[in-house]
Amino acid sequence: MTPHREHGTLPRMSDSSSDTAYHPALDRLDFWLDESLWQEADPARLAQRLIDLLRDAGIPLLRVNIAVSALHPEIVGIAYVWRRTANRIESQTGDRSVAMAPAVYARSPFRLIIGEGVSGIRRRIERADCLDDFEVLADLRAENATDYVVMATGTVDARGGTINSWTTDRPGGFTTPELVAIAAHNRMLGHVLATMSAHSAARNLVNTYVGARAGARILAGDIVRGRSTSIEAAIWLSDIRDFTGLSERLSADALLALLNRHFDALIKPVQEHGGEVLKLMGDAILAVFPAGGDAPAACDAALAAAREALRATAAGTGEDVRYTVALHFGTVSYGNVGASNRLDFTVIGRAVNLASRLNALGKDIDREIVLSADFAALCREPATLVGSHLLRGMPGEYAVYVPDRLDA
Amino acid sequence: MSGQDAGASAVIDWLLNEGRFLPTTADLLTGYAGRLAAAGIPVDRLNLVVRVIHPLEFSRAYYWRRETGATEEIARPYGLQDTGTFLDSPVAPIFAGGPPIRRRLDDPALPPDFPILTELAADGFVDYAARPLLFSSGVPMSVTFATRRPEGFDDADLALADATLPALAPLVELAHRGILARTLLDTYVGHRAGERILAGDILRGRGESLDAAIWFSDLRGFTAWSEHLSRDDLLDLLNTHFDTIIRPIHAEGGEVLKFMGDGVLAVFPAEGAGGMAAACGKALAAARAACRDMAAVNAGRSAKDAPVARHIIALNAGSVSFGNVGATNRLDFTVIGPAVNLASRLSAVGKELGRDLILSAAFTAQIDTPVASLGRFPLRGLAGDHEAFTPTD
Repeated sequence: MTPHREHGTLPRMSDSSSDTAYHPALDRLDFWLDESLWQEADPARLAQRLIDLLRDAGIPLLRVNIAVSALHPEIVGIAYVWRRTANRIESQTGDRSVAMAPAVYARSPFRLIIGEGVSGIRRRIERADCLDDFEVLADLRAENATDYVVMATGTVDARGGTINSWTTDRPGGFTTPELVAIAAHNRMLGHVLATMSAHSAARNLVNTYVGARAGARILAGDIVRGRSTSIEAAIWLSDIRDFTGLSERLSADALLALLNRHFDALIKPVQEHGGEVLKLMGDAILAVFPAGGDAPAACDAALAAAREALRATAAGTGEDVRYTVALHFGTVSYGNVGASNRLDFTVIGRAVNLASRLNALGKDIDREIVLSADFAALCREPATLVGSHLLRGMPGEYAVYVPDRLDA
Repeated sequence: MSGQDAGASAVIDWLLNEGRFLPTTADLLTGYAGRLAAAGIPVDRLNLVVRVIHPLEFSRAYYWRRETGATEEIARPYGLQDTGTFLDSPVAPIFAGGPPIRRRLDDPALPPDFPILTELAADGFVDYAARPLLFSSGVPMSVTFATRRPEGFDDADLALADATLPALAPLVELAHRGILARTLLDTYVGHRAGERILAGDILRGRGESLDAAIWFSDLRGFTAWSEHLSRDDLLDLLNTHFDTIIRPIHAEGGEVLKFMGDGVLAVFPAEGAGGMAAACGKALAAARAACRDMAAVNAGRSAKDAPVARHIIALNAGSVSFGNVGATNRLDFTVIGPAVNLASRLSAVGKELGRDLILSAAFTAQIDTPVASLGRFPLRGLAGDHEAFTPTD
């Protein structure tokens, strides 16, 4: 087992046989074998059950904070906070940009746990010589807290480590037997939360890198090639005009920053209007708005998203990044393609190719939004025919439309 | 505390205090079997089967046997679920949510419904029990116990084993959830990128400069095919193409970063290959293998009158930016930069020239293979003319 370093004075677990450190709550470890508890899907309910148990056993808790790490681009973890005054759990999502901001992190117990690998911290708040190194201590002092103990479990990675704090306001603080019992339960709590967190880690990763709708299908087991279904959807294919030229002129960092701003501006409206980003390809975005039985609504949503993106970028920094969104409606195959162990979950088919060719044409004729005839016929917004054009690789000429209104 | 409770407690304590730190499920099962034996349960064979989400596998089976004292891990291929091997095994009804199964194997009236039990009986096993091992989603996995002891299991033995299952289940689940995250990333994002993501590199704006040989390949005439072919024929054509192209990339240590319709973007990083020249050598070897394999595949498909598509592979060498791009909650882990664009533009030139393989000047400078110039070409969006090459041997 990994050696534990401790910060402050925590009781030793190993010599419990030779001392009198024994608390009745330690007898309640059978709590963790209750099958309903392993099936518990809600960390807040689980934490409340544990806190009830410890309080029933006589441990005078004032505040408990259970923080579970997440492998997520925006969220550092989820905290479950219990206060005696309310006697319920409030969950708070930890924004990565806030929690990891240097000024916050420097005054947080997380710095010792994550940064220095400490597994336990204790601050005897009522004592005059108590270190005042955490922001939270001032709040706790204002609530007349006397003793604050932090215990970490697991490692802070995809398997969901936890950092939990236990606070009391009893004069003299926690007793050693109480801390032994809390530590034993804390270890089990960390273990159950790690299992729950592993679920969401896999989901987060798939949602982030494959997309939510495709991710749900993959996690439901749809991970084998050759299975695909046909869906009707509005298809969005956008890319930046002269991206190749931009990438010649800009530094790698400037190019990454530009791309990220561009993706932010477009992906947010796509997602808000019910679209799913299937793929980012360099500067291009392939997204679908599944019809789900209402094709006009899907087309309206896709066009609304395109106009909103356009308005947002026009109102933005004034950077000279221009792009074209091609919108088409059709039947596409949706599923796994690729080599047997390296797959892509995407849409393929004639309709996607047409959207791609339409996008190239839109750039040639200098339009921000171009619509196929199929899309224009379904969409309830007025659109104007701008001509018939040859599309590379496609037989015949295609009618191309633009929306009458570009403002949202 | 009764003896049975004490026995179960000892096994559970071991699972939660030591078993959970073991690195693999096989180690866990070996340790668990040892603890059951120490608690007096005469188990001689222990079998754990976990259904998995994996592109090639249906399940992972773990067999512990007293004779060897070790656990063997076996990946069961996808498709097994439709075969008699699975359907006629006790695991099938357990997976389907059925109740525990108990069979005395020395009973002359042993029903023949599960062939594996007849085999176990012939092998001297006397008693058999199969149990659902419930994951937190409520989905049952399967664990089975068999003994050679002439008296078989008694009720207390099985009650003790049953009491330990709620502690075993989350450990097995946790291990397989970790494997799932890795499988998903390997499958959909790529192995190297997946490793970086699992190490916590999930934030935007962390571009890392990477020197690599860059592979950009495409099918020629794919758009035309997608006009004519049925969905199934099109998928078959695509999957055959991807199989043929990607196998040599992986074999030479390259990483597929991205699919784009019929296109494949891959890198062969200089670091790890032993320098840029070595990386380019590997990329070229992979490209030649892919061309050879594609020719064979196409000959086979022509003979069967199946649709045939030719490919183009463009190779470049350069420095690219490798990392997360996208919106904050929808990311792409990929390479960007002028060197990628050049490879992409070069593939378009190669298509027009009717070539299978086209090399950039930067790539050619890294390899010893004799090459011939194909001429100088303007590349859309890129300044100046760019010379393109092809191997001559």
